[in-house]
Amino acid sequence: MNCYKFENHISEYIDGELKMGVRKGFVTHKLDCILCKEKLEGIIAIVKEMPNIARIQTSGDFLNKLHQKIESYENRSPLKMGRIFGFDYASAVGLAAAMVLVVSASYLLVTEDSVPIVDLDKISTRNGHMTQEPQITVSNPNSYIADQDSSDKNNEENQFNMPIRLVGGSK
Amino acid sequence: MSDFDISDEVLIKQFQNGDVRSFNHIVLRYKDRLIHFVHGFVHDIDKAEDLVQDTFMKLYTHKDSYREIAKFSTWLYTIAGNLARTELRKLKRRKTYSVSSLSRDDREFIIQGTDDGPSEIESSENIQRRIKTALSNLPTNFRTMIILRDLQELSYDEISKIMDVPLGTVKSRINRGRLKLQELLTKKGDRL
Repeated sequence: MNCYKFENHISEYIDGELKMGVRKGFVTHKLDCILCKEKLEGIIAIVKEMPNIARIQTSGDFLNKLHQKIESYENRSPLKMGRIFGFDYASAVGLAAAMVLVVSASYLLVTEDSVPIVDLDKISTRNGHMTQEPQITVSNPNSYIADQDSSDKNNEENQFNMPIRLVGGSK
Repeated sequence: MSDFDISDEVLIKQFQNGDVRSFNHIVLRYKDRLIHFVHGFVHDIDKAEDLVQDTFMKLYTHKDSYREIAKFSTWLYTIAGNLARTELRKLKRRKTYSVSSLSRDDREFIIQGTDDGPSEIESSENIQRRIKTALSNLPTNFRTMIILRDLQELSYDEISKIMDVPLGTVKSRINRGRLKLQELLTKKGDRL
C-alpha cells in the first residue's frame, strides 16, 4: 500500500469500517511509514477531542419563542376553517370559483338554443364552391361606383350579381 | 420510565395523536443538536436559531407527514438541512456578513498566534478552541459531515440519508475533512 491509498483509508480505519482485505496492507504501511503514522495519530487525536469542544446552544427562551410562533400560527385565521378536502381555505375557494367558471363557459358554448350554429363549410369560399347560389340584388349598381371607368363596369356588375348568403338560424 | 427513556418514534406517535407535551420533549431533545448542525451551514448563531425554530414549526404543522419508514432523527435532520441549505443559497446571493456570525461564547475570542513554540504544552481548552476555529474554516460540505459524524455521532448511513448523498461520498468527505482539519491544526511541525 502506498501513502496515497493509506490516506484514503484513514477514516475507515478510525471508524472501524476498514475491510479485512485492506486492513493488513494498511497496518503494514503504518508501521513502515513514519509520516503516515503521524498523520493517522494526529487525526485520531482530533476525533477524540471533538466531542469536548464547546457546543453551540440555543438561547434560554427558545421554547417560549417557539410557542409564541405556534400560537400566532394557530390564531392566524378567525374562521379557523382548517382544510377542505386537503386544501387550505383560500385554495379551496379559488378552485371552486375556477370550476364554476369552466362549467358556465362550457354550458354557453355547447347549447343550441341560445347561440346560432355557424356552419363554416357553407360560408367558406376557399375552394370556390358554393352549396347554393343566394341572390342579392342592388337597385342601382351605379350608385356604388362613383369614379370607376366603363371598362370595369362589367366586372363590377358581375360582382354585384355574385350570389352571397349568410347561413344561419335554426335548422 | 422517564421521558428521556422514551424513543423518538414513540414521542412522535404520541404527538401525532395530539399530545403536545411529546412535542416539547422532542424540542428539548433536539434543539441543541440541530443548532450545532445548522450553524455549520450558516455560521451565524441567531440565524441558526431561527432556522431551528422553523424546523420545529414544520414539525408542528406537518407532523402527520412523518412515517415510520425512516428514523425520526433522520427526518428531522433532513428538514433542518434543507432549510439551512436554502438559507445558505440566499446568503451567498446577498454576500453579507453578520456580527453575530461568532458563537455566543466566542464573541471575545481571540485566535491564538502561531508563534507558540512546539515545546509548549497546550491546555485542553486551547486545543478545543483551535479545533473549533479550524472546523469553521473547512468548506461547508466537509464541515457538515464532520459535525454529523464526530459531534452528533450519527452513522454513515444516517448521514447519507440526511444529506441525500451516496454513502461513498459521505465517507470521502469525512476523510477529506479530517485530513484538512489535521493540516490546518498542524503547522511547522506543531502537533496537536
